[in-house]
Amino acid sequence: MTCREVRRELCRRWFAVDRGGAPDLADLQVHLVACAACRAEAETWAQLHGGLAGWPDEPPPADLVGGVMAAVAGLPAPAPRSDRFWRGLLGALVAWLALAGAGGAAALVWAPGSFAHMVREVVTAAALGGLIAARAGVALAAVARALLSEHPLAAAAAAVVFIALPLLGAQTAARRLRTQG
Amino acid sequence: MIARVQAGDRQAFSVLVERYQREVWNLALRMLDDREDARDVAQETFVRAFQAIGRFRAGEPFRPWLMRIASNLAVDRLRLRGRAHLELCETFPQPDGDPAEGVSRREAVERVRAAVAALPPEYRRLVVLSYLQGLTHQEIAAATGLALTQVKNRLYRARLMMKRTLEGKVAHDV
Repeated sequence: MTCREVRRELCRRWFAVDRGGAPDLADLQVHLVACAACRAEAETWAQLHGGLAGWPDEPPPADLVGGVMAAVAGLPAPAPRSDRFWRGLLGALVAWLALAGAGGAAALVWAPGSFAHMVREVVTAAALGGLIAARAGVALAAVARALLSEHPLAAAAAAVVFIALPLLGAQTAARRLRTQG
Repeated sequence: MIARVQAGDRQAFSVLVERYQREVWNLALRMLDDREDARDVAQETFVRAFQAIGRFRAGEPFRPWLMRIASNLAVDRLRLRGRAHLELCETFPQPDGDPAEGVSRREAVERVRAAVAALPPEYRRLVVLSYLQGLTHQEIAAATGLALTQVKNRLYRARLMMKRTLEGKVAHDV
């Protein structure tokens, strides 16, 4: 083995070299006996290995557990992952149903008319659906995020967004239908 | 035990803290070399773990997950410092046996501590997790989000960096 190969191997397998006895390291051991420079390099590795192995394990502060438990005392209890998922899904479903109901009710209030007119309204509303859907998407995402994060302020903000945006969207749609009609 | 914590059992969480506090404390201390910082990071680790344990998937190993939180916090703290923290801790427990041998071993450990402390935070994290906390390469990959080959390559580079630092210190001492 060359010095270059030996040094690369010392770095790559320093633990194995330290333990010794590996048959595939016999060449390396022979080289170390003959080469003082590589032997010095091996000693540095051994020093590094020994220093890491001898690094003492220290006991933690006596009040660490107490400090942790005091810190978590004011936190809400963690909910299992499955609960969070189903609760989020249920919340999203309820939000979607409420959104559809609010939009429909708002359309009836702001744009009443004959059956044919209503059909035309529905078709036109579908064209405007992108606007409402975009707003509803933002609201749903905010609600889902709030449900998962369990932050009261975020939940309140999401509720405002959830209620206000679909109504604004429906109102906008109805206003456009009126001007078109 | 973890399922009980996920169900809101705080007593079970205190058992988890008792079980892992030594490991988290030593990880933080070895990475930060500062007792106050290590205490903050150890406590914050368990608080974050409590907050996030609802997202912990049953069946996954808990130890690398906890080590990930702790080492991320320690790396953040190191980056806040903005420089390699080369100060050494106050005292070491005196090893048993021959006092002369103890001093020599202590010096060797001190040199290595300085070499570890001179590493960039990401490399220091890998060295502490691997050579001091005893995590396997697979566990380190899980704890750091790195690929297995990245873990091996970075540990290789970290060893070279430590050796260079050590050689500099040895030459300086001589």
